[in-house]
Amino acid sequence: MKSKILSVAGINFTIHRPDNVVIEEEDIHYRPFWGQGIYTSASIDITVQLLLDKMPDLTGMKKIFDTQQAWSMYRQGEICWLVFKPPQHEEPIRIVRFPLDFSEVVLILNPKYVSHQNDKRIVANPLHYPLDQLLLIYLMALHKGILIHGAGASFKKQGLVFAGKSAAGKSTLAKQLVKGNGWQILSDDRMILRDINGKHVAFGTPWPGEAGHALNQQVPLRNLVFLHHGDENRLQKISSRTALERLTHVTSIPWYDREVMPVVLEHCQKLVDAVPAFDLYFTPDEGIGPFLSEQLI
Amino acid sequence: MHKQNKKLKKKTYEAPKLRVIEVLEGPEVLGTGCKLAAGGTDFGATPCIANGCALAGS
Repeated sequence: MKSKILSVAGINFTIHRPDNVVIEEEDIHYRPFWGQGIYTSASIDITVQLLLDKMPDLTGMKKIFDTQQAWSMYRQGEICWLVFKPPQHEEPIRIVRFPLDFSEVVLILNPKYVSHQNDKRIVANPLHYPLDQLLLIYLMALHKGILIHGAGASFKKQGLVFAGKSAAGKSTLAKQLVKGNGWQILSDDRMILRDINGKHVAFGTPWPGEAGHALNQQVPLRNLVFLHHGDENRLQKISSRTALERLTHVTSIPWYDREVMPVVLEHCQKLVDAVPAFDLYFTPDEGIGPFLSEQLI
Repeated sequence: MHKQNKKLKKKTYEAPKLRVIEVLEGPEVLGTGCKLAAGGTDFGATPCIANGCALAGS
């Protein structure tokens, strides 16, 4: 068995694969995330056993959620199953089995959908989005973290997360910030926020938005900022109660899982209690960078 | 104590209001939206088909 490590937000997924399986990464945004992460003090190691095998029969298991698109989720006690079966496929393309404590993750690929070259089976990143996101939702629930739909930026080693749903302006804002001096964009679409020894840290992810930002880096989180379109740049501090309400709309919360959902909500509560939050009304021009650095850093 | 309580005015009762929030439709929960850079394949098929992605961008 050979292994390869994918590291996101301090979670090191060590993928053990059969010798005849080759893992290729064709997505350029993922390349910085392969290899051991640098967050040694916050690192968590997860072993993933990769197999090419017949899809397991889940008849009789309780389905807790069905996206009606590409995946569905089953639970049997402490064991969860993620089934990926796009509508146009007759069989699932992959199934992941994991216990809630992540002590043993098994990722089974359907050989029918795996290409081969001579005696090698060629597999594109088996943890590619959305599977890694779905696993990280549960992992972060275990480890005081959340996944947030937001852009993340660093200025003078201080982190700001700009949260908003699609079309809120995350990528637009990111494009303006990078034009100025001193700003570094960790992501223009998804960030992971973790409480590490009492300090909130923001991590980039391999899931960029339209602006294509995906840095495998971290920064201490200074502020949470909720985006709104505006005629001028304006910041308004909001209460933790308001911030929590806003946060629930942009956080990856497994609403379909009654056991894990309240844990994630609790992490959201602790985050808004600890980190100041603001509403930002902004105009998409170069003035936003200096405005934010003056007001928040 | 009883006299003090008499002086306190009762607050007007407001029935709790139920508000329905759609939380199961966003990419944050569903994992939808194509995150792939242009090109690339997944298990020998185009990734958008293989993963059943329905939306571009975030």
